[in-house]
Amino acid sequence: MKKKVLIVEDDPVIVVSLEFLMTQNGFDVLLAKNGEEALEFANSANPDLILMDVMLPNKSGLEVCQELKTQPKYANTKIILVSAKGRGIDIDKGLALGADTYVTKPFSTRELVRKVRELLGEQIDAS
Amino acid sequence: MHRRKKLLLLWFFFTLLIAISGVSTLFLFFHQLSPDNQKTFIHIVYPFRFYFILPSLIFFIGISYATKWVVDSFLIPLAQLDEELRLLIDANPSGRIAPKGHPLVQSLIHSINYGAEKTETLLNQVNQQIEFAKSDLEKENSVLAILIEEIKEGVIVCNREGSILLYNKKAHSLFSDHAQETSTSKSAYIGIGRSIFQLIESSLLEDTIEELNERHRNKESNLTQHFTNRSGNLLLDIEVIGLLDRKETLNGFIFVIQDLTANMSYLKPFENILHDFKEKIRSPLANIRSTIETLIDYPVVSQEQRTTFLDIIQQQSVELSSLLDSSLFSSLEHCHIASFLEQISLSDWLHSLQRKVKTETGLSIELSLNGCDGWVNIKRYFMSQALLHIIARLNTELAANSFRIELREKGKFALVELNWNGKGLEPESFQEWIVEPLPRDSEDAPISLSEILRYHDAEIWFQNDLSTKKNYLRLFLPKIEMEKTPDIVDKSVVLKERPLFYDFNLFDKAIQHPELNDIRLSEISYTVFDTETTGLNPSAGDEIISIGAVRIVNGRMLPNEMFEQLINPKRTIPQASIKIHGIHPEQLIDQPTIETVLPQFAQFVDKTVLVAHNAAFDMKFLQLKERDTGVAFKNSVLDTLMLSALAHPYQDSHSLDEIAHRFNIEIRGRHTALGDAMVTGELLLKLIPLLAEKGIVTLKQAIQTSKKTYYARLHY
Repeated sequence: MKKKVLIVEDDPVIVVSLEFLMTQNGFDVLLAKNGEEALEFANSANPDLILMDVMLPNKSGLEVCQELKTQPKYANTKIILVSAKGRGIDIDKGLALGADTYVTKPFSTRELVRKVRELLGEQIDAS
Repeated sequence: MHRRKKLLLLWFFFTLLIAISGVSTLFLFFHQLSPDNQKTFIHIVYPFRFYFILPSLIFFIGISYATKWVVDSFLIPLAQLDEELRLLIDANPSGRIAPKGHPLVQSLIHSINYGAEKTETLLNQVNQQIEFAKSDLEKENSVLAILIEEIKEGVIVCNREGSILLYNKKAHSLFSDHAQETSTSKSAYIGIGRSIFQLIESSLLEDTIEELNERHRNKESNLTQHFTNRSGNLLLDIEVIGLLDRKETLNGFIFVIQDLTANMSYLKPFENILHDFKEKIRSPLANIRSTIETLIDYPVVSQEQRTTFLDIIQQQSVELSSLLDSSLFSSLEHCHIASFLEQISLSDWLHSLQRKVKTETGLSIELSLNGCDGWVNIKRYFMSQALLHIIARLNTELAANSFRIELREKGKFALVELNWNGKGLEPESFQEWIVEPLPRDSEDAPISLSEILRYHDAEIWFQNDLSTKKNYLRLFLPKIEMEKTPDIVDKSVVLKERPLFYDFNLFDKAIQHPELNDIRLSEISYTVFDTETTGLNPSAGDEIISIGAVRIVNGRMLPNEMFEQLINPKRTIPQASIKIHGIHPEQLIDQPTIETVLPQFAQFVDKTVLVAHNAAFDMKFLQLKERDTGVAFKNSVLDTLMLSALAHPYQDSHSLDEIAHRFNIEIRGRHTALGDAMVTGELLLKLIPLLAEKGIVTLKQAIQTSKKTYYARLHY
């Protein structure tokens, strides 16, 4: 069964690349535009991994991350935070609130795919 | 030889002499007789020999016991009494001599104790009167000490030669804490009597001092000079002020030191501008990059997909270009809040917030701090205003009147959770609240909660929990690491007096000459140290697991100039030794090895005389590590075990416990390296005047005379 990846991103431009990447790598992709939708999808679809921007309208990615990680049912859901906020303190915040890893924009798409596969316990293509 | 043993040896030879005298007398008498008379003598005496031998034997044994009784009952107790009386007078007025020896001697001791009691009472009365007379002066000194201690700048005062006479807590933390962080750094320790040239780059300092000297010679009034100095990772601004005495002679300098690295908060707005710019360009760059990489890695795509990707690249490039023309400097108007960020404990801040809310709104907040003791770097006024504003809005718009703040720590961050019962908060309302300007009386530009949060790198969000009907506002705030205070295993080891950071008696003293031998013991700087080890055999693989040390300068122990470090011995620790020093293997796993610690210790003890109790033991451990660490201790060494034997040769024991009891020295932290070092230090200070009475005044005399004691034979 295909693993599910939920992409939470309000920038439609980056969504194009991310959705294409995840689909090409064999994942089922769900899309959410903001934090509230992210929580709804998390509850209904139970994704294996959430690829989430930090700077979302209304509810930030940090807040969503904190809300998910305080609930035991999401203990095994992996979260990768993606953000233009790249200072050490921003990364520390994300990790302190329960994210599994933090990727700063601009990022290498190959590296991102590698991290997704690693977190989902899949074999990484060495090429 | 131990003097008590000498007395006993004297008794032995005396009784032997009596025996030999008796026998010799008889032999000489017999030898004087003619052969016939000798035969007659033998003929008469021999049948009655037992009547001669037995009484002679009884007489001999009697004399022997009698003289031994005199030695035990009088000579030895009186010799000990002599030492103990001097101890009572010079070092331990509250002590009392234990009665011993013959009842006559005991009676004398009782009289002495009675006299000591009277003297002590009189001394106490005199001291009370002195204390009363000094109390006003003490108050002034306390205020001055607090002033110097608590100001934010580092302050160091030194004499003309650069010998440090005074320094405050901030100066100590800027230099000493930093010195202990790196083993290879050339940073030295700060301390009374140490040289300022070891702390601050010499050429720069010499140039500054020369400039001030020149101005003084030219009778210029401006005797102040500034320079910056890099000390490891710190950038320091140093103001040097010439210190004139009443005769207008330049006899010292004051250094006022500001840590520019820690106080760069005035650059925060510029930092934020730079970060804003970086953040704004990241997204278009990320979009361009990911699109290009996707095209490279997945070349086989539909025409429609290819067109989409190319459009993305073009649009994002245009956006990137437009960013270069935008103005990002609008946030400079909020420079004022970025300055003067305060280091404050979370507990203190929340208590002050609680008071502020009560005063300004009448609302009560229950605080639940969960034992958190973290610190934050905030502008307290603005953060408190922001939360006060939120609470006031919750009260007026949602009729919330019961509030609770709970504090939790999550790694490097603090989570401040504001709870209230009643209606929940609408997301749109919250978004409005955080961007609207806060009400202020100041003429400065209005500022919103979101801007305050940005300057503090904080996040805020809310949650309405429908199941519990509780509403939460969560403030996520970075904590800061507070400056380390000196490590003390047992805080009670620190002396009760106010920490000593100054000694103006050193104003006129030159920096210690390397040739210490002829300097008076009372004027030398010492490092008194002790080690805890895995066992008693340094040559058989036992290792040091703890070093503790304290400095003595100008006859005073400096409780704020201490060295204490646990050491990973890279071997097992026998149970027998754990029972003595109480240090368990798990306490040492993360500690540095001797190769790291010994160079730091060598720096700490530089230009001082080393002192330890049974120093041969400790020095052997240090010497065995010379090859591995490259550190050789060339300092002169004094042993308080030997010095005690010199001062009180008639005492039976010179163990640290016994001597401490004799001198009425309180033992705190026994069998901890620092605790034992401090007891040894107090012991040294009490021994110095006693040695002086015996004519042992200089270091050279102390070392040479020590070699004659019995304990000088101890080797490890």
